[in-house]
Amino acid sequence: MNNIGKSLLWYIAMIIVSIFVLFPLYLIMIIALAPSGEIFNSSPVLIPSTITFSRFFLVIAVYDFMPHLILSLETAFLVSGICLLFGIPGAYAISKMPKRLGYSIIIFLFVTQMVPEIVIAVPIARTMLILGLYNTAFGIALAQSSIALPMITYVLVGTFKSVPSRLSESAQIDGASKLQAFYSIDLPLALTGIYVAVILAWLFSWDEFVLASIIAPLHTTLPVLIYYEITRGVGGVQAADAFSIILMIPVIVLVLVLQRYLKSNVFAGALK
Amino acid sequence: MTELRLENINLRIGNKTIIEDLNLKIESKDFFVFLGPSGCGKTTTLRIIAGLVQQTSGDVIVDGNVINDLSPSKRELSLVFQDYALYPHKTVFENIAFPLRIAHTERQQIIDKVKEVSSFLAIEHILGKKPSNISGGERQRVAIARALVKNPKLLLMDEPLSNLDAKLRDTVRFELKKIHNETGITTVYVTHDQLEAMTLGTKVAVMNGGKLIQMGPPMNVFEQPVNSFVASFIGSPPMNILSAPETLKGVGAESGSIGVRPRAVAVTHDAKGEEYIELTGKIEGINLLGNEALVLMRINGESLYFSVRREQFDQIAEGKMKTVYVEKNRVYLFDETGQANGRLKAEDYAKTEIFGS
Ligand SMILES: Nc1ncnc2c1ncn2[C@@H]1O[C@H](COP(=O)(O)OP(=O)(O)OP(=O)(O)O)[C@@H](O)[C@H]1O
Ligand SMILES: [Mg+2]
Repeated sequence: MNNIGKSLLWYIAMIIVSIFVLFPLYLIMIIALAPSGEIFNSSPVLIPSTITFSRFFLVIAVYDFMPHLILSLETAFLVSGICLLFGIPGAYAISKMPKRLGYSIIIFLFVTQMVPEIVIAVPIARTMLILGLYNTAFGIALAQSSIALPMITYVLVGTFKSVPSRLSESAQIDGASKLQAFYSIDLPLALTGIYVAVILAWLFSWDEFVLASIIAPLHTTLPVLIYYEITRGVGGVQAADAFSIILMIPVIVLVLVLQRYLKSNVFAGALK
Repeated sequence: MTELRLENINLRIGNKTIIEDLNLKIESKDFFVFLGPSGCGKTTTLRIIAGLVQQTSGDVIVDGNVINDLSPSKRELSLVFQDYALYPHKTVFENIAFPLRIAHTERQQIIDKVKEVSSFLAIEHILGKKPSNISGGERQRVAIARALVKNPKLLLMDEPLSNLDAKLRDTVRFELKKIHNETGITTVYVTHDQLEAMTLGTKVAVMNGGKLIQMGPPMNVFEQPVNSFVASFIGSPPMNILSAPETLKGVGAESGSIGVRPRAVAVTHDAKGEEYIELTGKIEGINLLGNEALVLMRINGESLYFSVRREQFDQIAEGKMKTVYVEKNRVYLFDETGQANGRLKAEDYAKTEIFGS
């Protein structure tokens, strides 16, 4: 009896949370799919009488969507790559430092974030111009990494700290060099955190607006494109809405692919 | 065929002294046991030997070579960690094979060696499992197998039995003895369990507060403890240390304290008069342990624990006053600082040779 009551409560809670999370998404879907007459009046419907996909086709056809999508994907993967390339060794080193020192370094990393993005965006754009990286995916990725890298490093420090140092010590006793111990023990055991870091870096870049718009104003990423098109008034609010749904798809795919690797009990059986 | 020496090892962290002036020599094929209470620096000593902790001063010497600056991976030793430290993402097979893979051992040879060591430790049937899916006792054996597979010069073990239940502990203890007999690997073993120290060790080093207190073959340490700390640490149940002035006067000891092992106490008098001391007190508790009972008696405000054999259970009753007897040459004397000061009657005493100090 008690058990049934408990699971009932549990289900009710889950349903409430689901509604809370999913209802706004539902609204966005409806706005993109419903006839405009049913949305833009004083009592918008919750269930439209018919649905139309025309706005999706419009967005893809009229907005010159593909090159921007490719640029956005390229940039997001570059940011993830750069963040891992520098974040993993950096975070591993910081995780092995004495607490005080490591903590100071992390604080120091976040100093760049104290300045509003827009302030550093212009000098960065100038530098990109000089380096020939203006209007390129690599240029945007470098600039975005300056914001994402401290955050990713911070996440990864936590990850590496959670790997018991006893395990890499054990590997060294078994004859492994520090580097071998790192890639055969610490790295595989930190994978869950690394996947989370990839998702975070990727999402950050996918959404990022200020740096992308200043470093690549001509050939730009999807969030900037959507802004341009809305301000130009092409297709109206409902087209923009359809666009934002398209913007969500890669995010969902990425999270679905990576979530299989997000394990909570990687250390089971290691100690005691 | 490896001997290990520690010379004047000191370790300070901040202004705390963790290991103080540790000197000892572990000979080839020794089964050397560090014994001491929790926090006395046993694990730290092993970690210094393994190179995981750098001593503040002093030398670690293996076969005459100072290896202070050698990294752990170059020291050719194995360490069974207090908490096993198995690699959770690798199967049992790969855990055991890891030292061989690192050494680029040939594939077939890896398989053969892992098979050999795992059949020896009776864990062949779990080679395909992950550490999370095996029992504590099996993890223990896997950790030992991983330590043995590369034929280390030195085998270091940190309380390897502490996480096992009592029965398994007995089994594995015998296995460890067997492993040592068969391989002859110089072994350094850490425990806070005096029974393990007594049964496994060819030599025992008793530590306390980061210092070596006494070292020698287990029986010598048992028979000739250098002070009351060692006396009360080795032997089970532990030695009683009595220091109430009335008690001391009653048995004719001048000052300091006397030590009486629980099994040295007799409940009946064999009419040998002079050779015995008498202790009288109230029996406050009796623990029946099968063929034996552990009895608590209060004497002049101090506790005396002693063992009584089954045939003599009728001699004791809770709440009653009782006089017990101890042979004088089995009464240890300690001075005011706790240093051993011979026996109440120094017969037999000189027979056992004293090793180390
Ligand atoms: N890195 C460190 N920093 C400060 N103190 C330390 C450090 N490592 C160990 N100690 C201290 O050194 C002492 C000895 O620790 P150690 O782990 O060697 O004890 P132990 O004899 O193995 O105890 P146990 O039986 O509980 O395992 C303890 O008081 C511990 O707090
Ligand atoms: Mg310890």
